[in-house]
Amino acid sequence: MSTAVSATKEQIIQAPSPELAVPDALRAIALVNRWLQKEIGMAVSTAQARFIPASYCWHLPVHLAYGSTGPLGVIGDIYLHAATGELIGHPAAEELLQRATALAAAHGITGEDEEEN
Amino acid sequence: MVLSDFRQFPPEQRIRKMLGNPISGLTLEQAWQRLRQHQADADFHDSVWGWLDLRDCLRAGLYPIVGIERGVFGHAFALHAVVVAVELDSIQVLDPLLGVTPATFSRESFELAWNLAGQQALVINAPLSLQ
Repeated sequence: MSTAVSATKEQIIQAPSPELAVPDALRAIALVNRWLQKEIGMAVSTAQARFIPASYCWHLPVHLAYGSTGPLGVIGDIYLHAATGELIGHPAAEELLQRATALAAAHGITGEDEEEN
Repeated sequence: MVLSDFRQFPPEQRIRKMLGNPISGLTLEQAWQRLRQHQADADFHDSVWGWLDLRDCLRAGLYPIVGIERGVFGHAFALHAVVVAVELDSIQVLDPLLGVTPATFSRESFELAWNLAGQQALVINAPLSLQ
């Protein structure tokens, strides 16, 4: 191999490689749970992520789940782009909250607002 | 433990009423905001805290409340708030759903459960106003 070819090869190898924003399922779950906690609450979460090669996305089902009951059911789906980390498909937070409220009511669970200040 | 070290022993119902009990589950950030409305000196740490911060907090005599994914510990999957106590390479978790006896987990499994829940922490630094 000539010196020029070796140098070129070395340059190519050293060029920065793109990194995936969401390289594995655990990272996908952590990111989506952070979003769900920020937008809705701790009872709405995800515990699974499945990679879809065709769209290069993670698919994460969203559950209503309480520590005392475990998961009560799926209330929506979130799609997270593996390369960019963007949420590219999800129900609105308000819609997820409405579905959670309906599912909780079906299980006889009702919430309470905080006291008036 | 979090409040009893301040010699405060409010009934659970009083705390629930103070914080609210929404269907969607209270987040640690919402709890922090409501505690502050009750003149509590409390801090909320959003994904910037790690194992050593928990340890240092405990050394200062304060018990951090963190969210965890219970599924990591063999329970049904759900995010849940617990109080922690750190040892050298393990962590004691006081989970209200498991009673008064703390459960001990490895550092690795706790960090995974904490990370999956957003790695947040809530610390109450001073007694609440319970009037």
